[in-house]
Amino acid sequence: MTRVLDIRDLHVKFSTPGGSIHAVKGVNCHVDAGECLGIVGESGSGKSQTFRAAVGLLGHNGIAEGEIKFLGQDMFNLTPAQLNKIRGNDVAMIFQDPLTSLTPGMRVCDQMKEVLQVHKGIRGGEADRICLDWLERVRINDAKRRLQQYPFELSGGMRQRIMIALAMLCNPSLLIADEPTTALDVTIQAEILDIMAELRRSNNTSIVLITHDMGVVARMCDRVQVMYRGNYVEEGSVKDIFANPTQEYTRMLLDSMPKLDQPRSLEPLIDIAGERPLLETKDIRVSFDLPGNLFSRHNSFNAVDGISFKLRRGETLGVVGESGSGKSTLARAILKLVPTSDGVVSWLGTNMSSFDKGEIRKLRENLQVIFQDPLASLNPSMTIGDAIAEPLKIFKPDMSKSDRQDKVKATLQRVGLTANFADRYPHELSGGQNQRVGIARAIIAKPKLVICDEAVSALDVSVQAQVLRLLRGLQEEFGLSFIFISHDLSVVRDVSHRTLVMYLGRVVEMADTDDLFNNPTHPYTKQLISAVPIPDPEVESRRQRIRLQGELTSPSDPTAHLRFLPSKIQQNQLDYKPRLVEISPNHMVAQHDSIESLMRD
Amino acid sequence: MSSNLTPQDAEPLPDNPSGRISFGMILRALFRDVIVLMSVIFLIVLIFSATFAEVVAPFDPLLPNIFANRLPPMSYATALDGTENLHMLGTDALGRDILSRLIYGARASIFVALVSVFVSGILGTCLGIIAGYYGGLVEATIMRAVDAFMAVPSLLIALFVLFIIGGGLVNMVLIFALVRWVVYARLARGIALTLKEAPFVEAARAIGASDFRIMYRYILCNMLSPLMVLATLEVALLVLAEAGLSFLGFGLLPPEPSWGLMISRGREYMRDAWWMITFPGLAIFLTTLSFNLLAGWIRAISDPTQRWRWLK
Repeated sequence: MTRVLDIRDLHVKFSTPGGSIHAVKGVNCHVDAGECLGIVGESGSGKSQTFRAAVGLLGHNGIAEGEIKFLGQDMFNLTPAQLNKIRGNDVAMIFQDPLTSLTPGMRVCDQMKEVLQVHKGIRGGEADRICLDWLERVRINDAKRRLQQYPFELSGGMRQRIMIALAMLCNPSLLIADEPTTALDVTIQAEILDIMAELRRSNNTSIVLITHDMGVVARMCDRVQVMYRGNYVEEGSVKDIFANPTQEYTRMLLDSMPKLDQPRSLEPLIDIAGERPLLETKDIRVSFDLPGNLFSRHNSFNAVDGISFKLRRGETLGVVGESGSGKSTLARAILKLVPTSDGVVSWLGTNMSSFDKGEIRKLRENLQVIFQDPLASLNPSMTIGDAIAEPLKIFKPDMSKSDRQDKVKATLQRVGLTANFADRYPHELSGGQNQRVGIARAIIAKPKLVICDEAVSALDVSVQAQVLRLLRGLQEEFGLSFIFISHDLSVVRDVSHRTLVMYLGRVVEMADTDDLFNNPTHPYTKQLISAVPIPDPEVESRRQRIRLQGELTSPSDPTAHLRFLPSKIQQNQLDYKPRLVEISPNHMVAQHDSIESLMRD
Repeated sequence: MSSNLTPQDAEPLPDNPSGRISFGMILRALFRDVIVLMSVIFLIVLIFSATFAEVVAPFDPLLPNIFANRLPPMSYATALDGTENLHMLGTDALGRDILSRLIYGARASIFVALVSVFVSGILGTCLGIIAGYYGGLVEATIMRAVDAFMAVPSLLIALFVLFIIGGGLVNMVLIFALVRWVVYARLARGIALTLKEAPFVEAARAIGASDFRIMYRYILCNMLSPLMVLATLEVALLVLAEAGLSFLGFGLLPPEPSWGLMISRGREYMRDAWWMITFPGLAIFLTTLSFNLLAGWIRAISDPTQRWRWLK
């Protein structure tokens, strides 16, 4: 078997104004022809920098030392011109964000043809044919039209497909994929991974898959290397690593991931008869105006289109959906950060729309929120202590300064930080620490309900596990209710008592969490669950995936809400909205056609 | 599974020292940057001598000595009371000491510039934040007023108004505040528009913060750095404007000492007494340059995410 890439004793250092940073500390690794090597690690572990160094793409302040051989050539001895010949031709890279890695002002066909022209000298009709052929191979629908479009006109999934097509144009022997699916929804992620696996089979391309997601590794890779703080801590075949991890860190990574196929530890909620629900929504809608033209002024679409649920004290309601499903808008509507156009939100039985501005502000004492981006949701010019004290200053203005400081210190300790964090600024803290600050700010005034809007999505798995544990502890201690919004099904399953699945602003299925995950009924729910990679290669290889026709359609498409009920389109009832049907106690499912008719052939 | 987290669970506190900054740290950073240090020293000397002009200035700036007119720098002259005086920067056409007039003239320049920047800055920032935060009709009204002021050259308005109501210190401050608030309003509105959409402002609204609190603690506090830079540049601009207006005869009235007036008077003697316009010109140039250099440094030092590069 030929060796494609051989890295020996690689060191990468960055010189910064704060001193030199040793990002990669003597790493050895190799990639054989046709194999898929997974590189796993958390942020800052140096996993990306290793391979950036390998292809000569380090930042201007980076220095690489060691030996890197690509197809027998020493990469450190090559001139920039020689490196350029190799990059894009023999080795190609795909990055996490497909929008920023495509040139915004160039049409897809021009970007693709440029690669062919530079490396192969192919141009004109021949180049057009190759480009079209590759777009079809990455299964883009309507490929001919896509060639003439600009990147901003395409969805994230389509852009990533184009990136892959672009990378594969010259038939490289090595494809380096750096978190290729992290920014994508699960169903799209599944598609992209399928395409990559197929390309590897058909073209015998080696793949280096850099990811933080053990599930993706289990689905795709032959061999894994686990990286931690610039070192490889463990290396082995996928089966060995998942079955018998020898290192503490690997075991911790595996344990931190919530798994869809394993029992969860969540105390069931005891129903208290006659208790009023804490929060109840009835058929709420949020509509946004679309910029119309001179002739059609009042164009609007419903980001949230008639959602009803009840939330009890101490309960966690999980809300899952892909991007554009309206789950964040739902949170903002409940928080009164965006106005609802229809429907009722009641708090402890009182209709919130009757509240005036002052009463809403008073209500916020009981209704707090934790946001996705922990750094961006903290005021950069306020110290941590001041940020956490804000709710107290607002809701308990008579509290003395020393009392307030004591409370801040106690809360900091409660969320696992020390009291000396109070004088620091948010930019000095890590993502996980900042998210704890966000949690501290949300709980300091003892609210009854906390809405977590993708609260753990930006965090590394080990930190995510800690934060989830913290949230659950707070729920037990204070009887908090949560609305837990996430695109990550395994996380939602781990923390929620009930789960609601959203699609384009509507509920497609809502049930007790165990019921929903054990007996998913709606085709969309089934598809979502089957798309989530499970961090266990044994289970992964045996799983049957459900593929439905079409992708997430644009909400402005008039038939979008009938994607799972195409029989109504055939009957020309375009205004028909699928109703929720209760198939068993507490298990609601939206009307749909049979799953066999929706499956992709 | 334990429900409580220990501090060891989290990563350790970063030991990169920053947090609140002390005066000593700023001083140390200043001493590392020689050019800015020189500007700061120059400005301190200038403001000190302007404030205590009575003590610092060697002579009465208004006292003429017709027998010692147009003396070059470093020359001695016998005063009316018989004492021998050294005029370090020479004398003007009426025999008044140029150094003393520069020191007293700094008073007018610095006073006018600082007070007008203060007044116009507060006015413009408040209006700009309100316009950016509330939007709609409020914004339209304020910003159209800004556009109207921007459309007319501000010096021209100042000339016109000063012509009608007459020159003098107070009138100049008022007129500068009136024409210069628009630059702060534009900047503040632009930043407020971006910050209004920032997640931390949404978080503040979700916490229950009032509009005033959001505008003050979340929006104003995050635009202080660019505002301070703008204000410092404006000081430099107004020193020039004051000199210009006085030069044209619309500012301070003779015999009051002012840098602009001194240049205006010295212009007639440019051929045979270069010092009469060189020194006030140099004073204006150095003051403006110092404020400009200081502005760049303030921008760097006042940003909490950037300042660690300078403070160590």
